[in-house]
Amino acid sequence: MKLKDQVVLVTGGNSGIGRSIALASAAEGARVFITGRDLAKGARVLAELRSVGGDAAFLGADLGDEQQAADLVAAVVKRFGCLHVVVNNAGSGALRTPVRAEDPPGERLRKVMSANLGAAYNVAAHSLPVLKSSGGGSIVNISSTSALHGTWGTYGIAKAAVEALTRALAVQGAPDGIRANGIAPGWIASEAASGHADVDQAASLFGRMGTPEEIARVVIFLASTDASFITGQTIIVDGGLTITDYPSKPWLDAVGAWRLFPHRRPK
Amino acid sequence: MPVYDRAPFALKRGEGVYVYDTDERKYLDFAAGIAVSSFGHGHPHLIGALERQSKELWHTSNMYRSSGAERLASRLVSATFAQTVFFTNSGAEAWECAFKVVRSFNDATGRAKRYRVISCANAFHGRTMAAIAATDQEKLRARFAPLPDWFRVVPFNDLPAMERAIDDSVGGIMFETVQGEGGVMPATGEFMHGVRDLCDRHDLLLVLDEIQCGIGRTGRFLAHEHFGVLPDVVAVAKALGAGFPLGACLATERAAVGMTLGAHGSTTGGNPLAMAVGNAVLDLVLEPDFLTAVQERAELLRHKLQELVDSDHTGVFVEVRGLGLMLGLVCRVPSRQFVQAARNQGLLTAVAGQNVVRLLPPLTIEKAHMEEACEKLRMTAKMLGGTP
Repeated sequence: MKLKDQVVLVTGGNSGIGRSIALASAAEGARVFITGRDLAKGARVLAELRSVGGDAAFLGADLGDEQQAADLVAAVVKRFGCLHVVVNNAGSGALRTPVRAEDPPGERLRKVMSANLGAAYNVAAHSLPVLKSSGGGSIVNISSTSALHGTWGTYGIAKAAVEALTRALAVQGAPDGIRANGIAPGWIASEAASGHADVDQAASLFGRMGTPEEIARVVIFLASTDASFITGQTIIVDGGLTITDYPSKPWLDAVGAWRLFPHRRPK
Repeated sequence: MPVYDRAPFALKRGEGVYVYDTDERKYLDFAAGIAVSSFGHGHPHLIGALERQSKELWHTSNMYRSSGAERLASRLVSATFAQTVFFTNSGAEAWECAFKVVRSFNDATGRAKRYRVISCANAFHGRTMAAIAATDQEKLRARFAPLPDWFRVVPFNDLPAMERAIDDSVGGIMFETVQGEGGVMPATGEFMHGVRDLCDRHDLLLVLDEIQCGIGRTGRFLAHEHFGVLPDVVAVAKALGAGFPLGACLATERAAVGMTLGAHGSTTGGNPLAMAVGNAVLDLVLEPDFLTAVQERAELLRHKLQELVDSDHTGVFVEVRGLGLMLGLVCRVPSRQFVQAARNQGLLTAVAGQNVVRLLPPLTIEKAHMEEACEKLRMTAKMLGGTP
């Protein structure tokens, strides 16, 4: 068991990739604390964690609010006494909204940055002292391949900031035995991607989307001592999509560029 | 039986947020029948559902499956922490069911000696025998001794007292997320988080009475959502039927492990008429943006009430408190006297304890209604407080 008795906090743990990470951590012997904004979903994942024999807890929180992030970390410490792994998976707003003037001004930028960068930043800031006093640990930030693409507007910008956060945390945390790494998933078959079933064939070199479990296994690796010499890195888990130079169907739809790639047009 | 302190008039009909008595006097309804009529009076969607069902089937008992009940239960499960539901006809029944869930959970998990529950001072859970045993309010308990020793009462929002009250005779903790009759007092975040933590560590069931504060009253579907804490069991009623008698006990599968075949029942709980109305109520409450609109209305009303208190020269008003549209005006005059005087101004309100006036308007009130209510409250204070 790679995470035996470790205390793992998973934000956005009540669905999709976060849920898989929580379940995988419990399967590796961890005590899991999950959080999310939707309490009904949180209750269901909590019940799942407990039904596999895990010692688990849930607290609802909107992590863009720093006080709620502080309260969350305090609740983890109160419940389990310490903290070893923080998985910043909470995020939202995966839309291709371009950079433009908004009404009200700056609202979209503020919301997307708060939900993605702000949440990860707030949780990391409050977790660092606890990770240190627990004898060191590991932070895993879930970013996205959209951080590398200019086709994902404000969301891509926020995720690129999360990757920069990972590097800052790695440098800050090293003296205290804290590693920080990231994972950039490509297209993963989860609720968040449910409106994009048409992507499937073009989602990776394997002609399919990835599963949340395929992300969770990499999180477990990075969180465990197997990755003891890895820090500051973001590992791309995308079935090879970013190494191809042929564009995805959603991109082609979005930019209306089918005339450039007629041989890729679906029959 | 002359047990009620009734106003000297009867109400005859209702239209939206107004009601009329038998002399056609008009009242702005800021009591909603004690937080029941969340959609006002005469809502066409609710009437339509009841009418249609009344022509089909009124009652069958629970000897058969019921598609209305299965649908309503499934929607409540999707919308909340719960995984299983028991339908009742009232809040007190829903609370009693919740109490039986706690007792049977401990029995089924080999801890039958954990028969007690910790409850809170100033609680109001209903008028049945266990519900009055759970409170320390003498006016509810008088004449009914001996009451069982099943409850240990501690001050509300007092976490250390709660922790001290836990011993191996305790199997659960039950309180209102926002105390209603006790004075419109919300739980604090610290108390909610702390009680959840205590329940996790001692494996106690956390039971929340949301009979008054649930079903959108505070701007969230259930009031506990404001705190991010997950309960094990919740009792709801009142606004779930929006005026039709309907209650429910919501629970996780784990909490309800002792509620097996034959453990509990109700002849009219889950009846077709109630289920039709309940489903129609959820159609309205779960409409996208409805709860956000309730939060916005609550903010606006709170602001106006605060202005009323701040500009008060009569000395009648002390402060506003509450959560969402479950509001209390703390007064320097007896609340009973204020409520009577407010009726004379054409405003219906409710009492909560000696000196708190409860404001429980329909969740659909608009700015104009809030302004009218504040004006009537101001006039009432003027009548009671003497010259400004």
